[in-house]
Amino acid sequence: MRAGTLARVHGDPVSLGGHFSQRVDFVARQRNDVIITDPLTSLARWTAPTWSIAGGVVSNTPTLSADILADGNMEAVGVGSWAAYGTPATREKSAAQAHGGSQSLHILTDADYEGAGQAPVTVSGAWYIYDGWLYRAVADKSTRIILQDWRGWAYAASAIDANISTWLYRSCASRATGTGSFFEIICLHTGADVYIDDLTAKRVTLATAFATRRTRLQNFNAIFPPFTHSGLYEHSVPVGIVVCLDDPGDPKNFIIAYHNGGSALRIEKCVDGVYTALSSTSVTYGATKYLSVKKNGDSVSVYYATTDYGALVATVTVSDAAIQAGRYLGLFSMSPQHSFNPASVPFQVRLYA
Amino acid sequence: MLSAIFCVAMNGGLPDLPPMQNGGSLALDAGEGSGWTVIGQAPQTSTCLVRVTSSRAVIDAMKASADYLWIEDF
Repeated sequence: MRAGTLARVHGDPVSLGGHFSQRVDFVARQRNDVIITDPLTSLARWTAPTWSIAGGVVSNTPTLSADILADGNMEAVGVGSWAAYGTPATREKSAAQAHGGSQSLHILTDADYEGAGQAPVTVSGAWYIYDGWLYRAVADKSTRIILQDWRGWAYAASAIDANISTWLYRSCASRATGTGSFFEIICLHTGADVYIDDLTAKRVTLATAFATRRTRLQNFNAIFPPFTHSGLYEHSVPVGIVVCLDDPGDPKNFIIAYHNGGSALRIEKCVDGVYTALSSTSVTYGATKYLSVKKNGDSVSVYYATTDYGALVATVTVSDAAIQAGRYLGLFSMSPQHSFNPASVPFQVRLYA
Repeated sequence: MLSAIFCVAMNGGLPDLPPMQNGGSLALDAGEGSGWTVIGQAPQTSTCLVRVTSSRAVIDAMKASADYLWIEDF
């Protein structure tokens, strides 16, 4: 059939060589034909075990493992589980402030980059959510919770000077490398006076981080609803999209493009469970901006703008057969701190154009 | 903002770009649009080609560093 010819045959008998006839029911599709348009008013057609819709907003609370930190609630006697990072002037348990229980970890710094941390046992390649509560007794905008893994590939920071003398919830996520994982709280500047309490580190069940639908397409254009943040640099947990996913129940091969909660839009591939970072680009977050993707063969282009395929973030080349065979695509989120708003931009998949 | 292609070591699935201390990324510090993209990687090798888009200071520092092999400006 000539490209560009719209041929629709619905249930008409078609002669095939004069030897036999067969009832044929197909639609010859053209470039840019819509395959899926979904306003996400229901997840009935999605593989999304832990996702929900409330008030028109889609969000996820993924399944997490048990906490792997020691003395995260800071109720143990002494700071034995919390090694010093640098040489803070004070590293003590204190009853002066407590988010839960009767005490917290108190840090006073007399130089930049001081704090405390510990090295939990992690599984290489697995995602972990690290979260907890911070209380700043003096104005210091630079107190951060940092997972010192992947050289700062993920972190979270408490936000502004005005937030003193109140407990702030912060979270971050990172993948463990299996060696050198170290969860820490760092005060970036001298003179910081902070209390830390109720920290946890939990492994994410990856299959619950995705909400996907299946297509039969190897090449496609796709548009995803805008995602929202509860606060930039407050929850550095990935939120974005997944394409070319092999198996929603046991994801091992896929491409993810996500905002890191700070200023970066990242693209990574996972092949047989092994991740490779493909791109990291500084973007300005916008509540009405959304991700769109064009995939054609090995080429995957990711856009982030207020229009379809508006501003190119990056084009990456992914030739791995296992990813090329993946037919699921959809949303990616590891925290209820983020959400998707499909009211203005529904999920849509078209033939590649 | 400038772009250049470098041959860079891979470290744990991540291009070994200028140190990203405490969440910062030197290559990303030049504002919107700055960053990097892997444009070539041979299977089973520990290096890749990366297109870096950043400030002149970052690009020049990478060119001057023995850790990165400058290929061409882009």
